[in-house]
Amino acid sequence: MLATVVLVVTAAAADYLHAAGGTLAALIGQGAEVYVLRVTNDEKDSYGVGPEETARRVRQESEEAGRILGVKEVIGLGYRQWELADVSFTELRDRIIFYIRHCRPGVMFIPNPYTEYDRVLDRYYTGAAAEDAWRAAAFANYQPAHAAAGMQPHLTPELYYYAPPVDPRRREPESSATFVPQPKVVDIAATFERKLRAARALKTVNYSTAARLRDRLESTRRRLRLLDRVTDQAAAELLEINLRGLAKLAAEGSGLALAEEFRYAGVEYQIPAKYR
Amino acid sequence: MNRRSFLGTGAWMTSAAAAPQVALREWQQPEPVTLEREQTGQPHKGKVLAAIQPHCDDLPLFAGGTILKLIREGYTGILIRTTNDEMAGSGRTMGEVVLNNERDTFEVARRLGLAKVFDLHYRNHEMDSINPAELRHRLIFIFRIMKVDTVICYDPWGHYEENPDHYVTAQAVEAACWMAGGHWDLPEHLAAGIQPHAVREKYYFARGPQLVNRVVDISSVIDQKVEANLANVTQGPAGESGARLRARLAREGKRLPVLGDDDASANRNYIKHLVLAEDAEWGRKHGVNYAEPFHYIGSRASRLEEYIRQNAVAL
Repeated sequence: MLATVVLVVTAAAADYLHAAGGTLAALIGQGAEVYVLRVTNDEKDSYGVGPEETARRVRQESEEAGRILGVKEVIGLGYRQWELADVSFTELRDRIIFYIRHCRPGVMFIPNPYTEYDRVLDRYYTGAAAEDAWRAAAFANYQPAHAAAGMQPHLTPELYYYAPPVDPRRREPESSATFVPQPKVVDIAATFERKLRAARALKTVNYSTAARLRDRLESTRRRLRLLDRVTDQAAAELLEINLRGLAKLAAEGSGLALAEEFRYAGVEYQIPAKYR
Repeated sequence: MNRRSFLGTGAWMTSAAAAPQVALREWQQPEPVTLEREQTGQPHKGKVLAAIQPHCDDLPLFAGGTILKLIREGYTGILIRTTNDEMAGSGRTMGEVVLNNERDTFEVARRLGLAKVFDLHYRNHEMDSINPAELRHRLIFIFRIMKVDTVICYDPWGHYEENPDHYVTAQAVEAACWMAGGHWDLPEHLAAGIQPHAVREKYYFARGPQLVNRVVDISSVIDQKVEANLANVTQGPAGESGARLRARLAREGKRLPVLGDDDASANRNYIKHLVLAEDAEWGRKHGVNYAEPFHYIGSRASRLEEYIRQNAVAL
């Protein structure tokens, strides 16, 4: 790791925790200062709670989750959840550029906009804007007025694209290792418990996930004994099952027990091998 | 029909009985036109003026005199141009047109006494495809970092304005003026140490009909306004148009005495006596030599504070 500042861009409160929480906990353990830019307000991811109250609760819970993980600050942009299609790409990109130039990270984590079959399009919109912001923040002719406030262009040397390891094409070989971010698997065995504790803090979202899974099962006359009575405890257990399962899936073939996987554009990204 | 009278008739209401009559009565009051005269000294020292235009010839034509006057009276000024002017003016290629207009813009700013130029470089004639929030955010950022107190811009309520660059810019400016003062709008600015700062005064100009409530006496700076317009050699009615007209007339065996005997005089005189003829007309109407009309919005006196001043008693 080249720098101690890490900027994480996430569409929803849970996304970065589930896909990169263990890796971030490890970086924090090594002294990194992590800032999380939470793009939406999570207003819809609840069960039986109105949007305003949901947004209020998830904001509190996401700050608590960040505190448990060791995040310096969770910054909310407040866009309405699952409505990002109506937000201008340039508007969102420019706001992320602002944070890049302000925080001047050495490492960024962003949702992978090339993940296939992810029906939560907020991750796609956020990832696409964040990817462009990562590139554009280094060019002075994007938002030149920033210079008047002393905010200089900034090149972030390392970029991690994160996504739950559910994309069936995630490990297909790419056309060129030099010019395409490559798969990278990170061992999270030592930090998994901390990641889990942080993710458990998102009680509203976890309860929603559990209740909706129960409803989906019931609609096809099935049941999961764990969810016969949906409680915060049951939701937390379901969360652990999910996160452990994802961590094992990401670790497959790597010789690790628990892992997270990324597409990684590092310090040698786009530099031909003969010039390194 | 007068717009203010029309709003007061109730003809547009489906139910006159349901109409909020108190509100309508306010619209019926004729608004007096204020003549803003030149002031001695520097009464505006410490204040910041943002002169905002979509294209490089807008401000010099419609508000150049007022900018010069306000700068003379102590304002520090900046110029914000929202487009790149790629569709207008001379140049062998579109790229050259952009560069020529950019150079003119910097020269216009220098001649108007504006200390800094912010070019937003949106595509000329295409501003109606820009996300309004995106443009507003960029303006809010500039208003906050430069601590802008006063803006001069196209009137967002000017009628029959056919150029989308004009009304899109104006609408974004109007909203950015008050949102720049809010703590919840773009809180990342606060995190970076940039404080909210609302714009308090607005001078709106228009090409067509508008509610004019202020006329600014620019008599003492009219020649400087001509100099600013001379800088727009790439596009617009000013620049070197006088010399071109003089040459055309000479080819036709004619001359206009008002243009003078050489190209430099022709350019100056053409701008002063023909391009800025309306400035002289507005001046005549208000008893001065030259003037520019605006819809002006200033800080409103607080009714609550006035009520407290008149009615508060000691505890």
